[in-house]
Amino acid sequence: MTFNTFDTLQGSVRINLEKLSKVVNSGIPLTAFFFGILGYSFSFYFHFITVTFIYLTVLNFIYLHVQKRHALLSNYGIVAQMRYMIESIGPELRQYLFSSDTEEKPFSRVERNEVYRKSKGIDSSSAFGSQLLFNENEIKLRHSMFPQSKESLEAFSLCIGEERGLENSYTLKHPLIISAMSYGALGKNAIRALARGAKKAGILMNTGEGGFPKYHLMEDCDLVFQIGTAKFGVRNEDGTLSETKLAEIASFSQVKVIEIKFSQGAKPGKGGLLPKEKITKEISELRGVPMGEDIVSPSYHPECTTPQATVQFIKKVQDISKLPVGIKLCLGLEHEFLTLIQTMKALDIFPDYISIDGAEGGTGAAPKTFMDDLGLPIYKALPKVQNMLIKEGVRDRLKLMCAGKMINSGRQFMALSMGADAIYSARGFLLAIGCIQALQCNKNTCPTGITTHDNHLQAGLDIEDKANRVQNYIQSLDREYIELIAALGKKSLHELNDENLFLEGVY
Amino acid sequence: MPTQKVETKVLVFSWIFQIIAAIILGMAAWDKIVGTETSHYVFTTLEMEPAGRIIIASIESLAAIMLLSTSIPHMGAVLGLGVMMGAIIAHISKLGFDVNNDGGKMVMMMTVVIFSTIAIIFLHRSRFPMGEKDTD
Ligand SMILES: Cc1cc2nc3c(=O)[nH]c(=O)nc-3n(C[C@H](O)[C@H](O)[C@H](O)COP(=O)(O)O)c2cc1C
Repeated sequence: MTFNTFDTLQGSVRINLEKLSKVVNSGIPLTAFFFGILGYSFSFYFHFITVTFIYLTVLNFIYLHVQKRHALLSNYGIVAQMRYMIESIGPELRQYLFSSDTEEKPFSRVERNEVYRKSKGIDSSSAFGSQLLFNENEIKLRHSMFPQSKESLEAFSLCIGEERGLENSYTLKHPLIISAMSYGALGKNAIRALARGAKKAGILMNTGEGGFPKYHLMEDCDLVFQIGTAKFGVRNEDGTLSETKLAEIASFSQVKVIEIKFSQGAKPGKGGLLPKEKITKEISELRGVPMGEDIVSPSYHPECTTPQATVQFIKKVQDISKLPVGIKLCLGLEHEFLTLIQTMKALDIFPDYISIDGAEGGTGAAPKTFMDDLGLPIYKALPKVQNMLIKEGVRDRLKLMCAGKMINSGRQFMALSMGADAIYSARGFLLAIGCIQALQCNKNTCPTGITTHDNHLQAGLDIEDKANRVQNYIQSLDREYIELIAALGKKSLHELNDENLFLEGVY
Repeated sequence: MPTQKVETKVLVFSWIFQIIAAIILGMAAWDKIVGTETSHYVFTTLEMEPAGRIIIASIESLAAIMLLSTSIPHMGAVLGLGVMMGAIIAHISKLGFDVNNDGGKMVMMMTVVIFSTIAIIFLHRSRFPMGEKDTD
């Protein structure tokens, strides 16, 4: 009985729509005619309405009988257009009204609000209990029965390049680094806001594979220069490394570290992608590529076809730049990674750090399948890499970093406990400078002016204000770090290890 | 609503019509604003003097301005054609085709604007909403 009612209900809704469209389709020309008569017999002013309905009649006629592309329009006419209109504002409706606070992806409102609050410097507590689902796949941090006193905690400090005894080694004062986002993916105001914020907060920032870091340098923060697979900024005509250009960039006093990008979590096995909508004249010049077509980077470095060649390439970049040199990759085939480590060991050449990018990582533009289905998520990849490094006995030859939705201290602490020495975050900082997760990074239409080159949209992004947000975000995180370290019963971030983790059957 | 790009060649072609339609509409609006004898006659016959005359003049000027913009000439054409539809109704029902013994000049101008605005709307047709969904 119950599902019968449901059936008739559905049926009646469908019939109503059909009837409605019939009524509307014949009603529109009739209305035009009706007002035509009123206009003729009473007042010419009625013809304003007559003309409007003549227009609607013509439009409806086109929908019903002329256009062939949209079945709904030719079956139902203007009523179906309403459907498209309502559907087109669906994402906004869902985000504003209907999605629950823990539901949105990739970051739920709860998670985003946490970053927004931090970036505005509002310390606040929540009430009643966690809104998350607690299930057997949940990773949790284990606290200690005997917390440390906050006074006894030690400051964080991590020297990149100390293993090689480098003169130009770089000491990180903060475990969080702004992850690679190129000028191109981001607009110039966003880059400058992040860079100025990094300067104020005293953190390191990665330039991304956008070529010469013109806007980063304006703000004078410490930089990691990233060499992408297309080597924008340091490339020869044929796409190989230009030694002179690399030496030139490495000689900037702000450039502290060089990073060679092999792959990225959101699109492992694929090169960078900058859609043509976002390629301005300046970007095409900074990168040395033509306008009007998508910029698709190759999926690998032409120099790096074997483990040996890859390690030699790392050595070459180290020698030319005389700076700490790290590599960034998303873990795929484990035996390949193991061979790479063994080759490093055999040749006694190590990068100064390895950064593991989780498959859940962000991107400005990538094919959906690559985002969804390729590469290992960070909490799976990180323990594997840590174990391989320990097993090969080379864990003390390099630093380990990681990225993948590390926007709040909980996730960051889990990664640190799994063996990471420092954390990269890209989207955490985007949220801090006002990203509302409109998911339009690939279209040059970012409503918050972050991932767009549209001057009008960028005008809303005040560099100084957003730089302060970055600083607040870092300071609020710092306060939380102190609470957390103490609660876990440790003296510093360096002491975190896997005994602090809980995962059913694993830790 | 996503708007498709219109080809440059088509745009140049469209500009010819835009300028013609904008000039005629602009002149017509001017005549009504200063209140020439003919316009007084027309709106008295339609029993819309003076409010209707001013309203129509405003719509015509607005349409002319929009026709000369780069971003919304197609909307200007829609507006201009709307006024012309009203004009057709007026001529058929009240005014006749030889208004105030002008030898059909007014009707001829009207025909030119109608033709131009229809051409503009056609050339820019991809910019009108057609149930086009954002594909990604
Ligand atoms: C808008 C945007 C642009 C990015 N551009 C680059 C890039 O140029 N090079 C790169 O290696 N990674 C790039 N990434 C990926 C991030 O550096 C990082 O690997 C990933 O976003 C980490 O995940 P998270 O956003 O969850 O922190 C980009 C990410 C975003 C969101």
